[in-house]
Amino acid sequence: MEPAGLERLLRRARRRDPQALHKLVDMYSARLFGLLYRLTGSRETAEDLLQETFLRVVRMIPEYRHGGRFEAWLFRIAANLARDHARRQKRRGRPVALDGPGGAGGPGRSDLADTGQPDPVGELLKKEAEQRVSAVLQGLAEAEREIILLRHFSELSFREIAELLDIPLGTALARAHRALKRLKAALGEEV
Amino acid sequence: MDRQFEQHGREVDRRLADLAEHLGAPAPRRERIAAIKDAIDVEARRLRRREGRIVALRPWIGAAAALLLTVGLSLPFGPGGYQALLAADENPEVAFGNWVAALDETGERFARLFDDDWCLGADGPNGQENTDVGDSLDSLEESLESFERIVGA
Repeated sequence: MEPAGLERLLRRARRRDPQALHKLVDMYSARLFGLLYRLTGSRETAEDLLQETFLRVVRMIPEYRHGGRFEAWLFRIAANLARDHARRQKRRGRPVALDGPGGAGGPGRSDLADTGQPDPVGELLKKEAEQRVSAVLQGLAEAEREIILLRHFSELSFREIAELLDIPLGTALARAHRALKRLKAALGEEV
Repeated sequence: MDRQFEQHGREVDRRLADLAEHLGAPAPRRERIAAIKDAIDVEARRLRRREGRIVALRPWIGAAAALLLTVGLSLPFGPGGYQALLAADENPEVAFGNWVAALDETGERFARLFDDDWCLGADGPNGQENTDVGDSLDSLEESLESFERIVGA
């Protein structure tokens, strides 16, 4: 959506116009859910946090000023909610839930983007790789995981992500670099 | 420095692009999206109503403040000041502190009740309203008693 269109939509959303708010859900829920799913490792949790993200948008949007990018504000809300959730889980001593592909609430291949012609062997290999990526992602330090996933799902620049996380740009890049190195090492030659 | 950062960013992006196909995520379920939209509608309606009530109440709040000011200005501050109006064994600072604390609590309780739509008679979770209303009225009464003690009414 072009900036003027988004500005008009946000003006209506500020008045809490239901149609404008629904449009924001349609526009951003896939990417937000992807981020939350990969941050939490659980479909149920990610869907709950997605709802909470949009409820916060409804509550806070009158205070939002369209100066920077709306995405930065939106993804900050989602990332903060995921962080709070992780802290609560840690305090309760619960490990992060990792939904297995195809398992209850897990990302079955059929849920993922359509890749064209079915190829059972290829699909299986991909599924395994995704499972490994999920496990490796959950093994990364929270701050490293957050940067990689924010860059992937939010499409914000590293500079915007650094601002969003309130860290220097150099730190953000160093964390991303470290995380990718670990991911690559854990996945071997696959990537 | 900026150019170094840019180069570094591009390098990270290149590596991330290699991983992109593994970072795919499922889509949220359609029924959950529908539930989210319903929840948004409920919340938006609640907030619009609340804002409407605040706008409607604003003149009354102003009038109440003016009334309090008038009462305060017309207090009979005779010899001995307001201390003469307190009970003999009452410390004025403690009494004033209690009154302010009771007012704060009352304000918070009423704000919470307001948020929960009690004023419109909506049912809240677990039938909590009656207890909340009772507690709020108790704390209002407490604050008024403290105020009466201070002004000697």
